[in-house]
Amino acid sequence: MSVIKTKSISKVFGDKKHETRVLEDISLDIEKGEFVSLMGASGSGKSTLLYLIGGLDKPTSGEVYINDQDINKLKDKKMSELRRKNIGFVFQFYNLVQNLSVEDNIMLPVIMDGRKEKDYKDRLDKILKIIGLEGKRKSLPSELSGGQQQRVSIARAIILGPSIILADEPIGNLDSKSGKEVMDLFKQINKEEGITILQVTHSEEAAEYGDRIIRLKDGRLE
Amino acid sequence: MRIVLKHILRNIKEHKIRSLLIMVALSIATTVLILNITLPDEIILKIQETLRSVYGETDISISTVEPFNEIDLNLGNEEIDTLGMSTIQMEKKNGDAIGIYGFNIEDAKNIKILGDDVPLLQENEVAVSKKIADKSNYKEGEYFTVIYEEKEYKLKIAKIIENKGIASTTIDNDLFIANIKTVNNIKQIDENKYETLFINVKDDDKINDFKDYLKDNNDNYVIERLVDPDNIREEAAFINYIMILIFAMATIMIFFVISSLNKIILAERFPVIGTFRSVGANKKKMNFILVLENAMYGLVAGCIGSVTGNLLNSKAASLFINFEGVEMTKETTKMSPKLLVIGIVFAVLLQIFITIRAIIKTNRKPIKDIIFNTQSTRYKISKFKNIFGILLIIVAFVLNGFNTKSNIVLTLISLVSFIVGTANIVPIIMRGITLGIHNICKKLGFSTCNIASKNIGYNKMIISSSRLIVVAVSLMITIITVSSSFTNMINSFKFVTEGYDIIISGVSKTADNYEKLKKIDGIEEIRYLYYFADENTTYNDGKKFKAFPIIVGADEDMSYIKEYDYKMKDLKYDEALVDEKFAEKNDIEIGDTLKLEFESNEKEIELKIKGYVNSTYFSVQRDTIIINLDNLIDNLTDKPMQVQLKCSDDTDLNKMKDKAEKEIKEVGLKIQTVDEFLQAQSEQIGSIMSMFYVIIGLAIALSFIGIINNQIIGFMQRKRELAVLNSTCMSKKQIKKMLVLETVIANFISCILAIIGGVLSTEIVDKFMQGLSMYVDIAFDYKASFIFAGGVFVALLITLFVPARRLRKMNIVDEIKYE
Repeated sequence: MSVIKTKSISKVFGDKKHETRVLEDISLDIEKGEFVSLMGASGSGKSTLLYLIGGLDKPTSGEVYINDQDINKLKDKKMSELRRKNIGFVFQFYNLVQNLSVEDNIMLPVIMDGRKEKDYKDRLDKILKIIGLEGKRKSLPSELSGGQQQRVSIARAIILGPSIILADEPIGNLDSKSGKEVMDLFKQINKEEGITILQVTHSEEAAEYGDRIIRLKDGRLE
Repeated sequence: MRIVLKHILRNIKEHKIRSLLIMVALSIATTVLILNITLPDEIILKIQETLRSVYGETDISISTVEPFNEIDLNLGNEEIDTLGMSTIQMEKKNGDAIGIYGFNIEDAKNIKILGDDVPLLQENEVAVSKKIADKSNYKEGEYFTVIYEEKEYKLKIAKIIENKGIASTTIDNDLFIANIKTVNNIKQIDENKYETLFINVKDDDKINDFKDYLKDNNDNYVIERLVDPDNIREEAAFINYIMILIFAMATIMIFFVISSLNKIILAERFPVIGTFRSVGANKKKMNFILVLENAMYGLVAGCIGSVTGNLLNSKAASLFINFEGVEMTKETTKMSPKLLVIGIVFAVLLQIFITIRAIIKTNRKPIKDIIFNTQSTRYKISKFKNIFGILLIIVAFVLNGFNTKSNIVLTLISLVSFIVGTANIVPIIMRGITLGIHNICKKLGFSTCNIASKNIGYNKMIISSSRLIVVAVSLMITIITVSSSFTNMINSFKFVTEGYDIIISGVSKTADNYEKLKKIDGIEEIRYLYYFADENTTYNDGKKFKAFPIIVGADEDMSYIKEYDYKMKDLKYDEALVDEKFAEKNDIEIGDTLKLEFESNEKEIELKIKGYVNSTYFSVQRDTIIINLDNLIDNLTDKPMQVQLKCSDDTDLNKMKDKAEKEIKEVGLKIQTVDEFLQAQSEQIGSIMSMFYVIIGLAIALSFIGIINNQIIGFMQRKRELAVLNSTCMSKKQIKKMLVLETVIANFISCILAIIGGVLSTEIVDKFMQGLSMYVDIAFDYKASFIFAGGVFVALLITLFVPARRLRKMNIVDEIKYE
């Protein structure tokens, strides 16, 4: 069963006179539980495709389905709910809220979904154990290393048990040791939690963690 | 260097609004500084020139009730010009009182006490100023009849003259100018006699010495210096204190506004600083470039502020001076290059002082953080600032407690310490309160409020805005307190007039002359207020008082003076009561004997101090000595200072004023209803307060703009954070709600803290008022303060449009990506 499906999506930037076609006729299917790596040179449109799938941007043409739901027809509130419940984002620069502690950052989706924090206490403990930051739960992002911050952003992405994780160059800002730890974590989550992962990466090594590699060149699938 | 300067000028040009705001703020501070420097001189000049426009070149007046001549005086050998003035009060056939000043016209024109257009008036000819002619509809060539001691005289209006010299003064009755022969003929006295002799001393440096000589050698004459710079300077000292307070308040507010604007400028310069640094500019050079840019702001604002200060000083001076019946001079002090330099140096140094710390701190950051603009938005609570803040508040109150003599400098230090101290502890208080709200929201499951309340205590820009609000609003509440204190002062005048309806001042005759008023239907009671004041009162062989006392005569209890153990009605001929504050200031105690010496009438009275009174409702200065009324009438003055009339309930007070005027027929009287009297007092104070409000209002407007700027920078710095929240868990609506809650909660707490600050500052305001010799009831005006703070709270909600608009336009992908 496809959890992610795109139908002939294209993305054009700029106006008619100076248009830049970033994506051209992209159709793909990603099955539940798959770990897919999206590769391509700089400017090939891989991050743009990831953001279109995550509903952070809209395609110029074509459709994006998440769990058989056309996300471009959703209003802001529904879209936000879908992202909160079904999609976890992991960014290259972690993008944690600097004012909040590790556990507050992880619990953000829970709070904003109006759920009770105490109902997620056990899950928080379990996730903190998985990412190996049990002792740092009260720390602020600025007190953590890059690898640790990325692990917190992964924890935040999985706290509500989404069906998909979209990761944009998750180890692009990390040293090789931290990068390997993060990729091992992704693999573990993929296997243990059954979460579908779509990662954008430059690194062949990181791409090898996936079950399948999709390559983009000049906005088209190779 | 050329590139650096080009870069700086381009920066200023590109960020016009922000640059403009900084320059406006600095210009206001500079304007107030220039006003502080120039206003006393401007006031002195205005008073001097206005008096000069009335008295011409004359310096001293000698007067007495009985007509006299120069040969009756000992004028010594000083080189002088003299001019005699004979005056007469009469009534027209219709009962209106008029006054005539008689001179040797030629001499009066030479000494400039009369304008050049006054003709050489013949016998029974008079001239009248255009102002009076317009008011009473006099025509040139017109005749009118006057009555003096039951004889009629026909006078001709020979010319309507310009409003110049002594003719420009307006009194309640019409004033005419005549040849001295005309006046003396009517009075049937020698044509060479007069009641006043004006003297022009050729050498200005000798005026005071000559006045002393005249006093020593001419008993029984009242000798006064007409335009005395020393006296005027003393009067200007009060205004100086008010201006220093305005300067301190405006500068504090501007300090916080600019330091907040500076943050946004530095935030915008971040990538540029990074680029400069990455191509080899060291920290020192970058500090220099940023300081130079700020110096540019100071340079421009210093010029604008200096010029504005000079342009405004004439207008500001006229707020403080009130010459009844005399048109104020248009003369104004000239702007000196020295002032321009002072203004520029002040503005440049103030701007550098405010910004230097932030500049150095910014340049200490790693280049990577600067280039990628990844500065933290998290506010770190500084233990040092908390301790420093608390210490400053303690210093403020300790200093205030020790300031028993109400020293104005110590009061200002207390006020500044209190405001700066409060600003320093605002962050920790905000964090404490918002964490409390956060915990409550967490328990209640209010998700957005939970996040919003936590953000407040930790976000740099929200804290910065809160600090601005607390400082601006509490300062404004302090001004409200000062204003209501002045209102209390006006209200205290009511006690002196309580139960009476009409006040007659400018009285020049003894009380028995006013007893005839009782004949008027509707007047139920007459009360006379006897008091006497001499600026040059000394005691116990030449000792000077801190401020000269007002000597009040009493033969019964007075409701507006509070007595303690010893009653006023029990005062024996040589006994006195003193106001407790006056006693404290001059170290006078019960049982002391005071030998008072008065320069104006050269009298001496010896008094035994029997007790204390509180005279705040009689005189807010409280420099009051109460003596037996007979003693006052025998030795100091037999004329009441004020006559008060109590009318029956159905009396038309305006008609009663006219009736009283016709009955008394006395030139120079001022007859007012109690309401008019109080209104006149409150107008005088109102004009001073309006200056407070204008300057502080401008600073508050700037604070408001500063807060909007904080909203912009806060949003700029949080864009990525908000985009992440939007991409991971929150809808834009939820984010908007969070931002609204942050603003509402933060502004609400700030306004409450400002009110608390205002309440606490009341103690210091009390000392300030005492420093101005005003012992008024300082009452914190809760209603006005809450209304003001509430108004600010509502107005600040408008600032929400900034993040709301920007959030709608925000592109999440652009904010999340770094590339």
